[in-house]
Amino acid sequence: MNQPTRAEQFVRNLIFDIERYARGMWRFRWRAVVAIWIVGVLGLVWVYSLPSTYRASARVYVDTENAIRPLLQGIAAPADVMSEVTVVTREMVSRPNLADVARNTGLQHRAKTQDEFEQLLVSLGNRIGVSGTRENIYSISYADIDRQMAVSVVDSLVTTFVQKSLGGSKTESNQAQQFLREQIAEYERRLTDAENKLADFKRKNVAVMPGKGGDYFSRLQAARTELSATEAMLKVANERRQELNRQIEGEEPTFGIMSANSESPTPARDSSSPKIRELEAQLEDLRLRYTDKHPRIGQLIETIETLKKQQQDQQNLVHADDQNSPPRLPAYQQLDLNPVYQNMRILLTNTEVEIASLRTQRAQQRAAIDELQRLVDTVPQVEAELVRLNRDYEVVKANHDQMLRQLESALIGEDAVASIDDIQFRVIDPPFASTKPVGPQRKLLVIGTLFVALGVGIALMLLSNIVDPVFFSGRSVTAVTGLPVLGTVSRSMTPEQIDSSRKQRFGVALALSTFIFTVSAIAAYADDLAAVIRQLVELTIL
Amino acid sequence: MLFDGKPPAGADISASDHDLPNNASQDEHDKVAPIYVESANTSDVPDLEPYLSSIAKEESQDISLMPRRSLPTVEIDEKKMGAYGLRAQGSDIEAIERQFRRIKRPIINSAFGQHSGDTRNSNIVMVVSPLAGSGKTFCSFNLAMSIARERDIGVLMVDADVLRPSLSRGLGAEKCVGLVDYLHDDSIHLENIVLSNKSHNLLVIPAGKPNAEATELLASRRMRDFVAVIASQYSDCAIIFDTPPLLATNEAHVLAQHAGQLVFVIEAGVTSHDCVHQAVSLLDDRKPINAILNKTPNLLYGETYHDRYRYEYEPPDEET
Repeated sequence: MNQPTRAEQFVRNLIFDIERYARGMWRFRWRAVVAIWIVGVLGLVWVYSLPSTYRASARVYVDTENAIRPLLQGIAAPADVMSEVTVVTREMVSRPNLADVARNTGLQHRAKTQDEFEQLLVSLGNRIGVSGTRENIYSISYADIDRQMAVSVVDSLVTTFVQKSLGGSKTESNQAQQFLREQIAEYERRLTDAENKLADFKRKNVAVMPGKGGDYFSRLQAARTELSATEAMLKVANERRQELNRQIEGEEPTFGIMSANSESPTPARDSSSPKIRELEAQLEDLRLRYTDKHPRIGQLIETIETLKKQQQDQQNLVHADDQNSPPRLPAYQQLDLNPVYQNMRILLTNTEVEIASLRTQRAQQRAAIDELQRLVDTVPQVEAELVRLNRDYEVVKANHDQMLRQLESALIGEDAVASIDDIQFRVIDPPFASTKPVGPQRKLLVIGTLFVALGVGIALMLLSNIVDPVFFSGRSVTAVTGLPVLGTVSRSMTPEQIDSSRKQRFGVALALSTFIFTVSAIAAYADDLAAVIRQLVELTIL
Repeated sequence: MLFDGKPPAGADISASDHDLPNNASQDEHDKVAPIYVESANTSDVPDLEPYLSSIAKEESQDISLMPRRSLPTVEIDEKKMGAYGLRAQGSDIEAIERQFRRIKRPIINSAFGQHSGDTRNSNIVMVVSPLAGSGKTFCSFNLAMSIARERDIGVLMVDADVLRPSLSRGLGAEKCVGLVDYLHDDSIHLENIVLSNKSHNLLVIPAGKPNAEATELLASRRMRDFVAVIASQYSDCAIIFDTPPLLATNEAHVLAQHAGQLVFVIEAGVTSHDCVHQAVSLLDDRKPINAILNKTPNLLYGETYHDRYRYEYEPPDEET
């Protein structure tokens, strides 16, 4: 015979070990049977002591377009049904909502402390089921050991859901409107402030407000130009006066009268005296600015003509006088009677008046320029400030206007929503719980108990064997004790012993099979049995 | 021949006892290898059972034979043995005989083999076990029977399990004078307590009358001397002791000290590791201790390969 291969050897050893273990465990069969029965009975008692849970459910139709959409604003894209379901669910199991439901249904009485209440809410949230079956149809369910309570809870949920989904959008829009109104009031205040500020500012800086003359720098320039014009005129007027004075006081005998006896003999006049030349220059100057229609020009022309004539006449007179007249009073002493001289004196007065006014004008203009220059720093600032105030005002105004528009649109929208309230929500199946419980799964639990009990029995046998091992082979004897083994002697049983052993085996098998059969029977009729037991218990206790 | 009827020392021997049979009867005796121990005074032996066989009668038929004292005999009734649980049942007999045939070999070697001189009392084989009911008596009896078939070796069985002398009972010798009596009463001699079974080449010392102090007697000096005497007197016998359970009595292990070798019987599926350890710790480990695993069930892949190989005498078929 061949040596067994390693695999065969392994298998044999394995089977050998298993057999030894089985035989060793067999010693504890009766205690295992007892344990199995005890565990089984306890398990069954426990299973049947579990209260049945009932599920209540309701189906509702919700027009998510109008009910959910407002809730979703800013949260999700509109056309996403799943997120709508999620929103609904989340709404429903939100803590305030659950607290409301707990209070409405009396569920809160199950909790005695705050902590228990919290836990109650948590478990409530976990056991509420919301599903979107088809489009816009939602199913709300809840399971509880108390059938009535389950129905109440679902009912409460449905009601709350209705209120929330409809009233929710309303209150939200109300809130939005409230917000807008407040903002509008605020902005109106700001607008008023801005206006006031602007007005104050304008008032305070009226002088430097940009007027018709354009902005500051052009004004300054214009003022300067005017000033120089004025100064030019003043200069001209001054020279004229000087000239006139000279003529009047005889420094320049333009008339020719003082030629013979005067200390300062003057030669014969030229055809055009400097005075006339001066006047003519003046005339030209004036003509640059004014037309001949100007009274002063007319005056000047007259004056020049008169002077020219007089000059001519005087020359003639001088010539005549020089020839044949005795020495008389200097001409100037007769000046009072001279019409030219009177004219001259008028002119002089005019000129002096002119000078005076020009001086005044110049002073004024200088002052104005000084003022302007003085405001060099402030005017740009002021203008910038003005720009800013204006801008602020514009901004406030713009916001204010926008909010007014928003408020108007919200009000319009609300009206639209309110008008289609009645078709948004419908209850398809009212809350209902079947009298048949949905849980616990007693069949499974009973079968589980069966296996657990058997497992306990086997474990017990195994452990007992491990704790108190025996020998089944010479090999193990030597291994454990170190004693060499002469050999093994087979067991030889008397017929009675064989019989007894057979009976034992039968007894164990019977006990086990009875157990399994009983448990299976209980499993098969688990729920009916539960109802029967419940009734019995109620009858005996009550 | 080992057993040629040397009278033991210290025994009163009457003259007639010296008359050994002639060659013819010697041959006869040789065939059956009888053992005769002279008994000096048969009247001193109380309560002889009517299990006396008629060997004397047979001998008296042979005129050439001088009448001589013979040992009281004991019968081995197979059925009775079976009933007492000392013999195998039915179909197991063959297997068990095979097993003991295997088991005895090392024992014999230790007792009479090359190195047997190293051990004191090497032919004293004590069968021990931790607890009762392990099959000690069964093993000792079957071992004895197996060794008794040896041509060159005789067997003396001593039932030292004085509290439950199932061996003695199985042989029907529970009322005979035995070991306890011998230990208790100095006047009783060795030859008074030995019984013989010619057909199986077996000598037996029964347990004797039960006694409250029986187990203490086992630990006495007289016991020690007794063992020494029989070891030398029956130095060509294998002397097999059936002992009380080691853990049940305090004296059993004292008895075991007198052994030349120990055979430790373990009951498969019952004797725990713990028990074995405890019992072994009581024994002197300088002595050779060998184990027998008794009452092993038929395992699928047990150590019974050798059972498949039967190599035995098969009687030839009857030819008509």
